[in-house]
Amino acid sequence: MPDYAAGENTITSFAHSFVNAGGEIIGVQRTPFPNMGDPAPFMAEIADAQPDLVYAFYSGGAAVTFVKAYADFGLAGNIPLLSSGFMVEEDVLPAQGEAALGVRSGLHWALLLDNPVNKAFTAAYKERTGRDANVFAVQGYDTARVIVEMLNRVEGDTSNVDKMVEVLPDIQFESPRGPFRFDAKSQNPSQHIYLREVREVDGVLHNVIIEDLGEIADPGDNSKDLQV
Amino acid sequence: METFIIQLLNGLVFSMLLFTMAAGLSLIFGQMDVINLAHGSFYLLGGYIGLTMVRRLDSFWLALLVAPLMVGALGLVLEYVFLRRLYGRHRHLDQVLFTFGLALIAADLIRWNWGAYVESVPPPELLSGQIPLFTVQFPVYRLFLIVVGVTLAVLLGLLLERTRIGAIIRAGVADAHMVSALGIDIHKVFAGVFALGVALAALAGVLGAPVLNLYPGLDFEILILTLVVVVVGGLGTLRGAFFGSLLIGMADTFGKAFLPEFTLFLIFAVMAVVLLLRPSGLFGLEGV
Repeated sequence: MPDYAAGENTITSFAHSFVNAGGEIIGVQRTPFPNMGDPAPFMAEIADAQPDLVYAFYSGGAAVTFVKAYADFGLAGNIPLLSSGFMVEEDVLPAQGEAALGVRSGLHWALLLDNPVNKAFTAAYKERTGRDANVFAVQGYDTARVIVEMLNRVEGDTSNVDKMVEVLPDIQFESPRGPFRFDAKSQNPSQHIYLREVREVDGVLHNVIIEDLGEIADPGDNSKDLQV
Repeated sequence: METFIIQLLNGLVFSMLLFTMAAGLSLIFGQMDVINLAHGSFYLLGGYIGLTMVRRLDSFWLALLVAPLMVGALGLVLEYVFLRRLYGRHRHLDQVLFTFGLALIAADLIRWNWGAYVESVPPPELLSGQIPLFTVQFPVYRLFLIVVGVTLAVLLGLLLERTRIGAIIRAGVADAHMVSALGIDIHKVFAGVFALGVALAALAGVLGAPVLNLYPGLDFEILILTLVVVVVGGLGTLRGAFFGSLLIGMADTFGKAFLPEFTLFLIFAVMAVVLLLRPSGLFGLEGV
């Protein structure tokens, strides 16, 4: 995982659930952020440790570097690779290519997610940009939607900030990711999480949804409560 | 122990990639007294030209040949039009401003042309795949990088030590004015060395693409590492670039293997220690 806040949060959350479910963690690698440079030393350490599975969290350039090196060193196919969905999202999948095949990930959205809002969104996005949508596009879209909903609820009156904060928790709508609302406790989104696997669909690599894991509230920053 | 040997190999691979970069940077500094802060940009530009070649012509080998030639030619033009006006002992600030500005402009032009998404280049068919080595499947392409790096070091060494051109270049490093006084057109030598230096950076860009991929920002990441190598090894000498690359490549690899949280710290700690003990680097020229 990259050595920064979101990396810690993600790994901590995963480790917490994983250990509670009976898993054993035999090692954690904190790699330089934002980019890890040459990934080879990390691959050699993974091969040396021979774990039953590897869980990783990367995004953008580091995601391509990691996933490609994982395949280059022959680890792909031998040790299953799990990840937070950002690591194999649509923005990096073309560069990863076949190296990403079989990677399983959990995320609150997938390009192929079958609901009317997502179909309309992904089609419109492709028409406008010429590229497939990715989770970051969805997050931007939903953020704008939350802002619009909030402005509607205060009838455009932005002078009273307290009022704006007050209406925020009640906002919910159908997002491309499915039903979207805020969790009262953590103030983070509460949403469906999907288990996805990278497969070839009509000659193109995509994240195919294997299972809808149901609605899960984002616990927020829990790095202080739990330690890896 | 087995993993130690593999990490040694990994360190060697990364060192050789760094050497390809550092040799050019060091050569340019030693010869022209110019610190080329756009060196990382020539790396990235070479990599992206390689990417286009691989996509259009489906040949990594052609990319390996053409990208350095194109970037070298660009280097000739840049030297002739701009850099030539900035030579001189007291014009380091002008040179730094120029090459840094060039790096910023290049970064935007590259992003404009190739986009901001991460791109990857597959290694050539011949070198894809792995060979089993103790606990890992070691990628053949990485072994190829070691071969290329060592070959390059030998070739550059022969060029500098055994040829007439090399003698002129070495003489230029020692005293450019004297070389000029002996009737050699030092400007041609400068232009040639600059073109060779940036062509090496482009070569490193193509070689590195299957390993480090290509993305905006890589230009400065690689530049900083290369600067560290050249400072550690000693500015202006091939031997310095080679051993500096080995030291920093190994520090990076073993840092990541044993103390991943301190990788960057370790690299700079090595640099600090070397500079404390030998202020002009391991093989630096005195007084530079």
